[in-house]
Amino acid sequence: MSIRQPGRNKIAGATAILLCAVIVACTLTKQETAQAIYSAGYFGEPLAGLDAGQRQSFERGELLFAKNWKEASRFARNAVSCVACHSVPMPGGSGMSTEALVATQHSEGRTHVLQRYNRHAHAFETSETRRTPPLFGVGLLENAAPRLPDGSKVAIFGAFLERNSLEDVVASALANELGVSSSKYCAGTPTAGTGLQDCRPLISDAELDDLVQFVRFLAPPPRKSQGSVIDGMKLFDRMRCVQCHTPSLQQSGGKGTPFRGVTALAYTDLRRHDLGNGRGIKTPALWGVTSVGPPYMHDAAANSIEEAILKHQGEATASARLYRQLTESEKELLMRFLKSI
Amino acid sequence: MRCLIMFALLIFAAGPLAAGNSTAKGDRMILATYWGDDKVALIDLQGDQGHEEIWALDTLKAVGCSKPYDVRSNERGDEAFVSCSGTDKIIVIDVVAQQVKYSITTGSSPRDLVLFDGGKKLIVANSGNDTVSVIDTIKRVKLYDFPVSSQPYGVAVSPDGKKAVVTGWASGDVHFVNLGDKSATIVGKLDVGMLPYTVILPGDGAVAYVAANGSHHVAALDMAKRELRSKIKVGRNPWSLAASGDGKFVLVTNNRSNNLSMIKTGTALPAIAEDKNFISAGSQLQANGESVQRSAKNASVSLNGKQGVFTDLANNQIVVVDLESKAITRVINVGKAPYGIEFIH
Repeated sequence: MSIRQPGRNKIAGATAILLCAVIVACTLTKQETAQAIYSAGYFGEPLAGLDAGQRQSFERGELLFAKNWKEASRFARNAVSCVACHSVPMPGGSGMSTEALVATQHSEGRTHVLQRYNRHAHAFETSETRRTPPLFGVGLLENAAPRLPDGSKVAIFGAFLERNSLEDVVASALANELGVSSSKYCAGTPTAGTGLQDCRPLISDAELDDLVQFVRFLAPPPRKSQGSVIDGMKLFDRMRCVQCHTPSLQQSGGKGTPFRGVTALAYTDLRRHDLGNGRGIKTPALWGVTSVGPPYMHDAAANSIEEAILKHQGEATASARLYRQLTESEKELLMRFLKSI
Repeated sequence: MRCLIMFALLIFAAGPLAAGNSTAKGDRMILATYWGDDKVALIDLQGDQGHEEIWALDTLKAVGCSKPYDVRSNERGDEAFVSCSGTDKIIVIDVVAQQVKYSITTGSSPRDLVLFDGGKKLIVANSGNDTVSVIDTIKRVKLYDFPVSSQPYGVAVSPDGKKAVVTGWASGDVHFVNLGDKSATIVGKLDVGMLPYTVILPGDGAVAYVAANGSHHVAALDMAKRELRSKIKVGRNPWSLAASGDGKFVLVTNNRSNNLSMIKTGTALPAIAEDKNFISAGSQLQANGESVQRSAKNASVSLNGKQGVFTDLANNQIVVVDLESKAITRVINVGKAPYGIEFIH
């Protein structure tokens, strides 16, 4: 028979009280603490973690992105502002208006944008339509681009991976889509066939920098909880979609704290693949895909996600075939997954 | 549960007549949409901490509604009208039965909506295809669409139901519209600033207020002259506007300056008073120890004008503010990406 010692009883009692207090405190803390942040931003919002200077540049760039560039020549543009096309569902997004669909011509390994009212531009014999790509999270993609042995980045911009610089992309889009040239554009890009007879910058270098920063710091699309879509995720994998639509990309470098250590859950490998057109096209990022369309695909050829899947040929023929073999309920699970990313 | 809701609604409706009843309907219950969860919820602001949500309807996707956005209730508070921004319809929810009654096809990606003509009609801006839909809620049919470019988002209707104001955020302007029974006519446009998303017509409807998100001001517009009266400087990136029931003030959510503004309206005066007050939106301590400032997105003002509620997308919360003391009185953790919010009248 053990003898209970008063000291030990006091210690046990105090421990119990302390344990209860810890439990209560943890409960209160849990109640006071909000759920984890759903996303670092929202459609059109800046990435979390920007410093004051980056945020101010983002906001200045946002206004330039929404600006109506009336001073540009009508014959040298397809739209009057960036948001005229990049607007779905918010500034920086995709576009569904007829204004957002632009003809392009592919030659000499590059894509030339054709201006609607420029008859010289339409001298090219063949052209095809391009849909406005959404820009949410493009900065994360930029920083996930692999590097070549010489340290330069692999080209990841453009439908055919023609450009490796976000600055180059923005300057070209300003000039070719809005008729707004910059000193960067005037210095390095041929003007033949664009209707720009005399390349005079309409946007300053500082403004161009702000515009680039706006695009760079746009937050990726908000993600939904993945817990209820695991079955759809498995189907995505089973259909071999992940071979090109790689779920995540690690940041290979950083241009500031908002990118450091962030994994881009973009569902793209940033590479070109032949989908049956013999030329290859860049794997688009699927994050937020159901919020930026229809239409879908680079040429707006698909009016639904299913239609887009079925148009996968060439290297993706097997995936399209596997999709056709899915039951209706499996297709529904897959769609729910695609709506969550 | 249905009995509880009906009982609660009856008590609130009878509030003003019952001695000792502290809250009338319109000051306690709110409807909210969770854009990220595809849900609509009914919330009791005086419910037990952690249990404020009376119900959260998660069957929206089954009826083809995704990304629920704006929400409005009818006068009785027994119907909720929700815009389904991920598709092309609005749905009507029976608040008591907690189920979707019916849906009506609109244009693509419907956003802000407003009930007018005593709740018999509804107007909604379809940002996806540059149209605005007018709907007969009694016959449950769409009456007509009319085009507005570009990117119509916010909409407001005059008290007589004959005039509307629609914002075009991509074009930086508002459109003045005459509403008919079978069609509408745009009678004017006015530049109001960068990225104008939302608009309201409080009180007698003589002045419209537009939140110019990119210009950091609220534009006050003379509806009779269709002119800009003044630009009221508020916080950074004003998003939504919520008017008090008497139209005497407007609550503005400043999405990127961590606060809200209160603007006094002088609807009966020739000039708009520019007095404003700031209300801090506060911050929330996260589980990782980081304090995240709130980004007030959408707001609503209680029937008695004493409380305001706003949604915070940064922390997935609904926050209650005492508009007299300007203090936060309650923080409610809700579903993902709460957007639409409205006191049930």
